[in-house]
Amino acid sequence: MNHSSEKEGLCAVPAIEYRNVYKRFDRTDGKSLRVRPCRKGGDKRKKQGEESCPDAEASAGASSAGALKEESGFYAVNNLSAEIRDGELITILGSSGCGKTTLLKMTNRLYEPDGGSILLFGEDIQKQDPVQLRRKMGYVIQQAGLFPHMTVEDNVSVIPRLLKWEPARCRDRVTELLELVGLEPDQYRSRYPSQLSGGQQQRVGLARALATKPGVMLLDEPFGAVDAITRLNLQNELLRIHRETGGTFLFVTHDIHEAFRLGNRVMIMNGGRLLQMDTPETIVRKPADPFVETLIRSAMEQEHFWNSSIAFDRGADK
Amino acid sequence: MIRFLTRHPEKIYIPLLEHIELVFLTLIISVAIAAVLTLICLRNESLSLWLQQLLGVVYSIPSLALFAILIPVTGLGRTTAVIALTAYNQYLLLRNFTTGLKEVDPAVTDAAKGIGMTWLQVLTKVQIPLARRALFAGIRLAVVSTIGIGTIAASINAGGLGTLLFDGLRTMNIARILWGSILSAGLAILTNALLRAAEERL
Repeated sequence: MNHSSEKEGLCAVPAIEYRNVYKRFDRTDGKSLRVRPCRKGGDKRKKQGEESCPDAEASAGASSAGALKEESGFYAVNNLSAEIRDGELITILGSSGCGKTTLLKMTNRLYEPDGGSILLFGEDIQKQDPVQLRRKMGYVIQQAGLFPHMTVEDNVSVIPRLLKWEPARCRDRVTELLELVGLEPDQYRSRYPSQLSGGQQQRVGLARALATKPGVMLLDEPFGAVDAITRLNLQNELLRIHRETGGTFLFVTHDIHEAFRLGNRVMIMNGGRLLQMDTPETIVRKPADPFVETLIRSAMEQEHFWNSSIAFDRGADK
Repeated sequence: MIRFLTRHPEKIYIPLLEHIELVFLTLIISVAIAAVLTLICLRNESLSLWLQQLLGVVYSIPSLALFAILIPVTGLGRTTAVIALTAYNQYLLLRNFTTGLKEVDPAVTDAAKGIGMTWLQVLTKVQIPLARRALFAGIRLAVVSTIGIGTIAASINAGGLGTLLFDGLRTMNIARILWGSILSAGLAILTNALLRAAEERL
């Protein structure tokens, strides 16, 4: 709506701006249980939370049992500031429990930040209606989260139908979207999600998120549960879709190869903090943090394994 | 027994109809109240726990005792019976409704919310359709339990098949006792079977 005009007029306004964003989770908060990571990760994060935020320690001390204490309070996102320009494809990289999903969920107000603000095209999202806000953003999650009781067509057109689009317009949009995500419309539109492969479900999830032409797409490990070959295909498709739609994409992943391959800039997070945000090339050349360095070294070692095995193979052939 | 049926058919079908009416009335009121309570419980976790426990306590009160407690307040008759039966149903319905709705895959409800559905749309378009079996199972349990406890309602002049049973017991009339027990058991078993068949089709 109004952001399209700003897009042309004020290029300087970032698509998304995070200003000192905090999000704290409590052990007693039911919602936090779902995002609560494995114990090892929790430990590390809590230490970081304690260092900077004394009240995290206070609440942790309040519970007596050891296991509870460990997880009773932590900052999932800790004083994070970043600017994302319009049309960028940003990947957010970090191990599970680093706060990347929390950051994404705060962007469409599935979670509310405990401090700081998030601006969408210069407007504070806290001042916007969450439902309207989410309709301006596409949202794709791991396992797609398709509605199992609806056909592909109904899944993709669910928001257009809620917005009372004409049936013909909905149908045309579904055709268009299924073509965009590489599914033959007539073959797939009347299928149910259970009749699709994991990769196809992800494509439908992508189509559903793109239905109302959102300016911003939030993707939460969308390809986390598909096999390597399908993932590679989907990554290529995503790059194409990003080019064709020209929107701003925020892509959360824990796969360093995926992050560096897709992102025109990469945000690296650990323990709720943003360690580095830059182009893949710059991050590789100048890692800003020991953690980032370790991450890149581990990726390189994997690479080395592949290269050396190929060399070994060729050697054996001779 | 057959002679009793041919001589006094009204003494059998009137209690039967009364009983069905009692069950039906109770069901409509209970489901309406349970629906409201479920909505409240979904929004408020701590209230939900508290309410479940309270209803559990109510459910564990023997039916005769509950009827007796209510008589000074609402008097003898059907109103009291409906109130007591509705109170019992709340436990069964609320439990099944809330767990049914909560068992819907959180990834699906998260996605529904994330793409911009209001909470009411998430509920009506996603949660209820996906939990329909659990919701229906709750209703089935409530109906069957109402048919059973409903026979005791005769003791407070609420009518129904219990009248036949209690009269038979008092006068040691075997035909009445048999008709009363066969019909109330049959009604419960038949209704359960029918509703279960309907549930399978959902």
